Amino acid sequence: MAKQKTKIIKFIEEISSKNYARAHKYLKSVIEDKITKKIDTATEKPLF
Amino acid sequence: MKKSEALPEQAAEVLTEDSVKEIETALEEKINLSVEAALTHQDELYAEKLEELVSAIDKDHTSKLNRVVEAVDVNNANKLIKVVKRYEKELGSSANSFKNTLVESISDYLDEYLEESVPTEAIEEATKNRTVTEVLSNLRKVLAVDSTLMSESVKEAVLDGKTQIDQLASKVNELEKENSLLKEAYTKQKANLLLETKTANISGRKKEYLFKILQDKSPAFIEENFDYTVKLFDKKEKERLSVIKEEAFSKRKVKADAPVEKISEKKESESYNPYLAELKRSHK
Repeated sequence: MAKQKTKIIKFIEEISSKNYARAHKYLKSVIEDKITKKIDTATEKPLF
Repeated sequence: MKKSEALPEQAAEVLTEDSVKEIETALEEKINLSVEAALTHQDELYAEKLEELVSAIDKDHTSKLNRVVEAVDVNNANKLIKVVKRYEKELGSSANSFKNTLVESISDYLDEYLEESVPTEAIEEATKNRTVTEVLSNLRKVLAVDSTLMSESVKEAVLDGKTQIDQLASKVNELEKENSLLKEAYTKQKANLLLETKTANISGRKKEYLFKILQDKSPAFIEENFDYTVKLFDKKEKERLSVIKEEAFSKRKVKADAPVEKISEKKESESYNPYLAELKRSHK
């Protein structure tokens, strides 16, 4: 969660300094983290 | 007072009207000049004094103003420092809280967006499918189920076999239950028979005691412990009899005038024993 927060902060910083390529990189990373977390949660559920 | 009256009488007789006028004019001019000179002198003096006064007032005012300016400056500077500090503090804390709020808002928004575009159910289903596929492939490996076994005809045979196995398993369970019940009944009967056989020649309290102790036991237990139980009963019985004997001795009363010989004769003839009588009574 802290990692995601840091990435969002960096995303805002890059947006503020109009460095959109880097901002895109950080946003992509945050979304990937969120989806990975969701998948991990779903995988941990028992099948039966 | 008239000008002509100011002149002495001799002078008035000597001087003409014109001369008096000229003298008068000259005198007036002189007076005017003297007055002007005096006024000028006075002006100069006053001007000097005024300059001195103004410079003194200026100095005083300047020093006072300087002090006032200094005091105002110090006061304003302190206030400004306070304002700057407060502003920095407020800016720092509010900026921090705003930053946190903004980050959380963006995170929540991204969560919502992801939930809409990729629902959790879909992810769970996908992971389930993947897990199921993995489990199935592992099961195929373990059970050696290949494409041949997956054809319809073989599948039916496998299903039929499974049904038969299930039925047989339930039958086996029933038979096991019956078997255990029968075994139990048989063991009980066998134990009873064994006990009956062993106690056929025994009667009375001994038989009752043996039945009481060994009735619910297994035949093997009865075989092992029968003799020991009999011995135990005999020992207990012996102890009981000895106790009764002692009690009888302690309670016995002999009459003082009873003929001693008669008693001895009776003893010899009937051989009466009170302990034996008591024993008999207890056996009954």
